[in-house]
Amino acid sequence: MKTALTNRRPIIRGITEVNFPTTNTVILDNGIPLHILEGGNQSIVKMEIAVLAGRPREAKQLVAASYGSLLKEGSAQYSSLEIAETFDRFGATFSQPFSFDYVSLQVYVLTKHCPKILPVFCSMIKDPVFPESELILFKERVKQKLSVDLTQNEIVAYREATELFFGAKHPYGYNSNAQLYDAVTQYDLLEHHQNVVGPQNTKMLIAGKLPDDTIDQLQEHLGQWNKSIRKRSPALPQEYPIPTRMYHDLEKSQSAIRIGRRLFDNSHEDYPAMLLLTTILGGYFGSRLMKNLREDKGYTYGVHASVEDLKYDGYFTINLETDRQHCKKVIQEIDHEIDVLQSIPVPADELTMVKNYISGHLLSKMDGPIQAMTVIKKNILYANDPQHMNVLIKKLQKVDVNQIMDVARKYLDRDLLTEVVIH
Amino acid sequence: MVNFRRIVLDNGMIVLMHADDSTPLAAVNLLFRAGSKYDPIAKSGLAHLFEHLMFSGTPLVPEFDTPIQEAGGENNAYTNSDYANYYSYGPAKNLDTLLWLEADRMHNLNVSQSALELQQQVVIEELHETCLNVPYGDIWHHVLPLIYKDHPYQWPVIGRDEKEIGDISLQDISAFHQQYYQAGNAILAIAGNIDLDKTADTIHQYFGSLPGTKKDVQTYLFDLKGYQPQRLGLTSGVPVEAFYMIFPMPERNSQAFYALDLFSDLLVDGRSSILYQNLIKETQLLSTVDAYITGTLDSGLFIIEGRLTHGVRIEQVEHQIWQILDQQIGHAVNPSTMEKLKNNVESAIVFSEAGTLNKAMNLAFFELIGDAALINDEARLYHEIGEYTMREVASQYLRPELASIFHYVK
Repeated sequence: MKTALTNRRPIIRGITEVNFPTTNTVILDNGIPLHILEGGNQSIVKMEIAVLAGRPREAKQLVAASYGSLLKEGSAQYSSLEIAETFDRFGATFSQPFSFDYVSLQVYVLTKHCPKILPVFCSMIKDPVFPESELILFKERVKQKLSVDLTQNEIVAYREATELFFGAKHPYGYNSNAQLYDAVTQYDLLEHHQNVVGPQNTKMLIAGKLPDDTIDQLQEHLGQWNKSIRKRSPALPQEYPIPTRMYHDLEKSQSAIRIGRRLFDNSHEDYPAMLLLTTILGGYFGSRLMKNLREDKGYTYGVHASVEDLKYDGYFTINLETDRQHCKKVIQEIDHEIDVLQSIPVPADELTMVKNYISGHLLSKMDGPIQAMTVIKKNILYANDPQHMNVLIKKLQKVDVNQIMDVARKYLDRDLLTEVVIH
Repeated sequence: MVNFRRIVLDNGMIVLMHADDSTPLAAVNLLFRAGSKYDPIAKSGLAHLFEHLMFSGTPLVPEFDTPIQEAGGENNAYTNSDYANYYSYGPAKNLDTLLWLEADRMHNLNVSQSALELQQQVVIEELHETCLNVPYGDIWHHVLPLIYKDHPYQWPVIGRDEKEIGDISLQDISAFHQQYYQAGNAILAIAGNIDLDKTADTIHQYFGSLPGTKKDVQTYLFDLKGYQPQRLGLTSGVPVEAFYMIFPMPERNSQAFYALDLFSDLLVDGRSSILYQNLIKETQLLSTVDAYITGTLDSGLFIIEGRLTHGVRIEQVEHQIWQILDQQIGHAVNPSTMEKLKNNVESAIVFSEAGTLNKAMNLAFFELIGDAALINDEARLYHEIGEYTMREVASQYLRPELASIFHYVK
């Protein structure tokens, strides 16, 4: 049996290219672009309305998040219950993807029911009313959820780390708390709508099989929405906080560890090399940190390193949980792995494998239009370049081992990294 | 509609293949009837630990993930109380590699004492990260032993505790491998951009000569006559009080499963549902609420759970839920609500088939519960449940004398 299998070992075929499908763009009367990826062999549609009205554009902290969440609680035409009933009646799944930059409304629906939910879906962004009673209920729910979140050291570590990377005043850095939620008023939400939300900064993403008259319907329900916004440019403090080491003792048996730093947006010249470096370090199951801390020492169930993209910035982070007794050793091992990347060139076959892995990972998302849109969305919402992902793949292929070592030295110097331990 | 070809190898392995040329991918899903209900007594967690060990390499492939990553693929696995499921996907041109790797580890798995000890440590860490260090994360460790008194569902998949996970020996692992990781105990499903004949040949080559004995499948069912509901207050130091109202219910392959699944949707599917509107919006007794069924192969559970608004007493919540249940069970559900439930089910089924991997997973799962063709029959089975049947079944199972209450106090 062994020999039989040995003899039959298949040849692995490398991934030379990933073909991203391109979207069709239709512009509605009021200028809102519809980015459409049509097709698939199932009669389903996913639609997303994304408005560039997130944290960098709010006048007061937590207004954007509260605004987004309350869009489903009533519009001029439909009450909160009527909105919920419409989605539920037609088996549509409504959700709001988390984003610091965008306020987003998203719905999955069977093609045949799409026309019935569109009027309601569009009314949510055009004419929200923010009933006072719904605002009160929202605050109670969100504060209760927050009180549960704050007992989890992993979540506390995430909050502390992002605040330290960007600063407590930065829209990407500040943390929610009960007082901030309490301070949000109905007026703030209406003001946010009035000044920051309009066709000029709205985009729509559509994937799947569309009913024939979808464009006409959207023209009617979204294309005639005319209102101007006061251009509120993003408020982004430029000062970089000093790297910090923070240790909080909550008397837990587990330590939650976050190590990272503020980086740059995905148009930066070092972005491709940094993405590869991060993947090698901790971005996939076979990564160096995973091998070292889980598969060699059993210190953790999982360790992850990632480069997170934001519209105007980005950050690098390593995160994991471990038994408190291993905390120091874990941090030493992380330091060691970073040292190695800064001093010894990555073997060529490891780099090739990681390039293949990233390409394959993206290719695996090209499994029908709805999945593909999750990748192409980056081009539209975060890069303003329809070719962004294609260009990125090509740039990744060209990165060599020296560039990997260069960015490791440039960005992962231990003095430049912030470290948070909550246990 | 998911078209598929079903073949049975001489060693008993069942193979299901679905071809779809609209995707560049292929997915492989290999399921073993080897869930935690087959854990030996006092060695709970073995089936799940074994799943970890399936990644520890063979003489031919010292690191399981490396070739998959070179092939541009992804893989993972999970274990539940009934079965262990291994899946991988990647560019269709590397399908042979995905299949070969599964055949290799099925036959040549070589677990050392040090690999065992290491994964025991990882799983104990997983127990801490996912159950013990998370608010409400230990709920099933409390619930299951009290509800499933004479049934191996009484321990959580991850294992009862550190000691039982730590007590598992290399001999236990080897015995489990021989007993459950046999071709005759496996279901292999492949979906994606594949040629059916060619794929069938490859499968014969790689899996055809593996040994295969079929395990007899035991089924455990609740005896409702002797059933004793439980009431337990939990003091794990949670920030917000929570409750779990739990009813025993029939197995996956029963009409009652479909009726109770629909009934749980009636209670809580969507923000327009009765539990959401009544308990969160109107009376504001709760800040979150959910109702669902566990869907296990043997007798399952129907669960209503939620978190209490500050200052609310559990008795108020129970009283309100019983009123809602009486109302829903006692009065005909209007046709538009029934239509809503059926629309939701149709939508859920169609979306669950989106994606190549999902199709492979679903094929294997339906074969496990009796017949892969059920993949195209589920919608009809739900559709056939009338509103009267749904309420009739709910009235049999959602009764005060069968309700166990678990309550996290602050």
